[in-house]
Formats: sequence, C-alpha cells, structure tokens
Amino acid sequence: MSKIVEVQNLYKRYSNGTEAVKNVNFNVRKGEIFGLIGPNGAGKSTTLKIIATLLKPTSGKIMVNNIDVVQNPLEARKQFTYLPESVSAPPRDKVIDLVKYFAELYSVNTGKSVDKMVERALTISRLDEYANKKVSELSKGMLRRLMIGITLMPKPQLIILDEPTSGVDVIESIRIKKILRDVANSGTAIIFSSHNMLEVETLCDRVALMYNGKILKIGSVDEVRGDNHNLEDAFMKMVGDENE
Amino acid sequence: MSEFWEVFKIEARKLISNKRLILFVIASSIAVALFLSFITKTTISVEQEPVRVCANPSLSQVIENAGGTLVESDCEVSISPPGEFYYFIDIYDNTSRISRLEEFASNFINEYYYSSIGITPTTTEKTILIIGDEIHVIDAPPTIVAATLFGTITVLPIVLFMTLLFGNEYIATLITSQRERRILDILSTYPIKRRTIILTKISLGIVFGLFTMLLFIIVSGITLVFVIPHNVVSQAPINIEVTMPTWGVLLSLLNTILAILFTYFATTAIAFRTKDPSETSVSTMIVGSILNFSLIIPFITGSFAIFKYPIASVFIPTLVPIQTALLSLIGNLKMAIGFTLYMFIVTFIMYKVLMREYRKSFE
Repeated sequence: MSKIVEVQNLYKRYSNGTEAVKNVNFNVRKGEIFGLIGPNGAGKSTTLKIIATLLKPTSGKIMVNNIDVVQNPLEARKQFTYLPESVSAPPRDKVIDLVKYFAELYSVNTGKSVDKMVERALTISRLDEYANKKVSELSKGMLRRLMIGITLMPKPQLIILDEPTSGVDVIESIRIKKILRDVANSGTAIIFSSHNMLEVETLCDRVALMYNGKILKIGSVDEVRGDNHNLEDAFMKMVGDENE
Repeated sequence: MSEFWEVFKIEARKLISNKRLILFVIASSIAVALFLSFITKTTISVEQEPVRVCANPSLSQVIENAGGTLVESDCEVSISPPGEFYYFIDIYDNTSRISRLEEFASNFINEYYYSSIGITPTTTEKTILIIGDEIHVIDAPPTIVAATLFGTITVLPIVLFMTLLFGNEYIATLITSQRERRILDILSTYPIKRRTIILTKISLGIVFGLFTMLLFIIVSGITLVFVIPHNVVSQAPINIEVTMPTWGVLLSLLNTILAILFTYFATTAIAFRTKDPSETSVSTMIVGSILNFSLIIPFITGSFAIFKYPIASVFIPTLVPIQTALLSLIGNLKMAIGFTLYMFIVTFIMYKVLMREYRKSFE
C-alpha cells in the first residue's frame, strides 16, 4: 500500500520552552486506520495539529500525499480534513445550516458540490431526520457524529481526528467506530489520537504508543501488545522501562 | 479577490440568517438614536469676524487674542489639541514650575501644533481655530466646531463611535465563540488562506457597523425632523467660510478607514486571547493607552518629530478626520501626510499582531 502520510524527525518546541514532540517518525498508508495513543500531554494532539497545518514544526518534515505541509500548506489542505477534540457548534443554528456553512467554505477553492457534501454529511452521521432541528436538540454523541460527518463529507484522502470518541457513551462510540471503519474500507486513510487504549485495539490497523513527546513503539496492535494482556498493560510496562 | 468575495458572501449569509442579532441591532439602533436625539441640545455662538489677524501666531499671541477669557481657574489654562492631550501651562510662571513633560509639551505646542492648528481650551469650552492668518474664538467645544465645519449633525461623532462599538462587539463575539467551539480550528485547515478567513470576518464587522450607522442616521434624522423639531437649537451656527482642499478630504477619509481598521484589528487580536467578548472593548482601550504611553516616551526625549503628532486621536476614530481636516484647512500638507504615514505604520503593525495571535491560538 502506498503512503499517504510521512512524518520524519518531527520536533516541536513551544514558545514557552515546552518540548511537546521529540523526534517522531511514522507513516500512514492508504485505507489504513492509524492510532496515536498515549496519556494526556504525550504529544498526540500537537503531532496531529502539525500534520493539519495548524502548527509549524520546529524541525522535521511532513508529507501528505507527497505534498510538503510546511512548504505548501494550501495545497496540502486539499488532501485532508481535520476534527479537533471537544468541538461544538452554535446551539441556535439549524443542523442543515451548520453543515451547509462548512460545505460552502470547503467548496470555495475545491469546487466540490455543496449539495452533495451536505447530503453526504447527513447520511454518514445518520442525522437526516434532524436536518431542520436546532443543534441544541442533539445529544452530545449526535453532535459528535454530525461533526464527524462534516469532516468526512468532502471525501478527502486523509482524515485527521483528535479524540473522536472522547466524552460520548458506549453506543455512540460504537457507531462512530463503525463509520470510521466503513470510510477506511473505501480507501480513505484515518489518523486519530486517543487515550482510550482499549477501544483502539478494536479499530486500528496500526498504532503508535506515545509518551512524553516520543514514540515508544509502533506497529500493528498485535506487535505493540506483544505478550501483554492488552495495550494498556503494554503501555504501562514500556513507561516503567522508560522511567527506569 | 474572488476567494475573499466568495468567503465574504458565505459569512454574510450566516450573519443575515441570525435573525435575533439583526432584530437586536435594529431595535437598539432605534432606541439609542431616539434617546440621543431627545437629549441633544446644541447651542453654538461664534464671533462672526476674526478677533484679530496675525501671521504665524505664537502661544502668547493666541492667548492674547483669546481676550483673556481662557484664564478662568486661578492662574491655569488648559490647552490641548482637539479632544485629547491635556497640557497644563502656568501662564504666570511658565518655566520654573512646569515639569519636563509640561515644558516639552509647551514647546511642542509652540513649535509644531500651535503654529499650525487651533488650540482647544477644554476647561472653558472654547475652541480656538486658526485658519490661515485668522484666529477664531468659538464658544463651543472642538467636537461641535468640527462637526459644524463638516456640515454634520451634532450627534454624528457619537453615532460613529457607537457604530464602531457595535461592529467590534460583533467581531469579538464571533471570534471568541468560533475559537472556543474549535470551529476556527476546522476552518483554518480548509484550503482557504488564513488572512482571507480573518479579513472577511473583519470586513463583515465593518459592514455590520456601517449598517448600524446608517440605521442610526436615518432614525436620528427622522426623529429630528418629525418628532422633536424644536428641541434641537442651533442658535448661531458657525459661519466660517472654509474650503477644504481635495487632498484634505482624501487624507481625512483615508485616516478614518485606517483608524477603523486599526481598532478592528486590535479588537480581533484581543478576541484570540479572551473567553469573554465584552473584555475586548476594555482591552482595546488598554492597548490604546499603552501605545499612547509608549509613544509619549520618545516624545519626552524629543528624538523623533513624527511622535509629536496627535497620536491619541488614533484611538478615537471620530477625531481622525477632524485632525486631518484641520491640518488641510490651514494648508499643512506635510504634517497631514506625516500623520497618515503614522496611521499606516500602526495599522500594519496591528495587522501583524493580529495574525500572530491567530497563529498562537492553536497552541
């Protein structure tokens, strides 16, 4: 499978001196679900923000579909969509108006059909019947699904999701994971972060365990888990080794 | 340009769809305009002829031409450029008791400002206006004199100021809410230039402000003509024949646009740092004060002439056309251009600050 994301020697130091990412290397293949897992402060969100062109790396190289995100961010942004953690929406907006707003803005430089994107977002999120309801009438899980639908609607090559199931109940979490699996099966690559290691096991093709800005281990779930009972145990063992 | 226009149209449609906001603006415009119209009572008297004619008047000559009416509180006279900068000069003991700042202010007035523009004695509510070699002592504060000179209604400066606040508040609310909800993060990863995303929102805020201003003027006009025709008195309108040169009009307009842009940039930059949109208005004033203070330092040391310009008026945009127009009235093109250049520089710096805050908001 060809690579859609290549991250080489990524390093990020914030203006306050915090070293958030230290020499991170990985790649993501087409149609693959790649999970960045680790505790809060591990550097997952920073890594995703750099790939999504929100932050500039201190050093290192990131290619998305062979486009350098630092050198050519505008062209790179046509290859992916991004969903930040704990995103919300104006409660008084109608669902259809909110989706249309994002679709119209996305179509400005891509020329993609607004109507098709709106239809796709509502179909993916399974919220067609809520189209004319207000956002305030949606549950937290439904809103999360809607935002994932908005993220998926342009059919990008890559989808970047920061903690997509954070704060939603088990049923919604399963629904979201099913949506993501369907999308990956259609050839779209997904890279997402999570601190819930158990749910990652059931979804990801490959994972990278991050801790303290560094990748401790990378590979398939089985490879990273090794002889341990689950990813959590594997992580705790590796962190113990790291701290020693 | 087409990208900017397309994004602007999308943002405008979103704004128009917010019926609650539109209704609030219309209702508040009517309420405030009615209130202002009822409380406005203008009384202007003016000496129709120049008091005295003298070329290049000095400080003492102008005070003398004011007929001593400036001296009203003990031995002190308050002198300032219109509306801002308060200089207290002891006319009996001019050198021994004033501080370094006051001394410099005195020199500044004599050398740069007084020789070219009218001085405003704020405590006596009089305006000294110098047009060419003529000195006019007008029994009205400078804002009214300026407003009358431009043929505007008395409430217009207030209306413009209110307009600015409305537009600023809209931008502050929009930015803080989109930032807090992380919507701005999503938009910033769309294939649209970052400056387009921000500048379209700011442009929309300005249009929103102009819409509010139009409503204010219409409602004020209707109220003045039909509701309270006898309440607003213009007993002796200022009758000074002045012809403003074309460059004066153009520079006044340009400085107004720059001052509005500066204020909007400042508000938006602050909106990236705060969670409460209402904090941005206060913060804008604080930024203005800090900038004022920082620019007074070279003014005290006297290092650069450009810092001696009436910078305080930058933060009261309604005064910007007045300042520039007064400069054009007395034919001081050099100083008017200097002031415009200054406006360009601070506006550009504030734009850079805004974009920096925008980038930092993702951290």
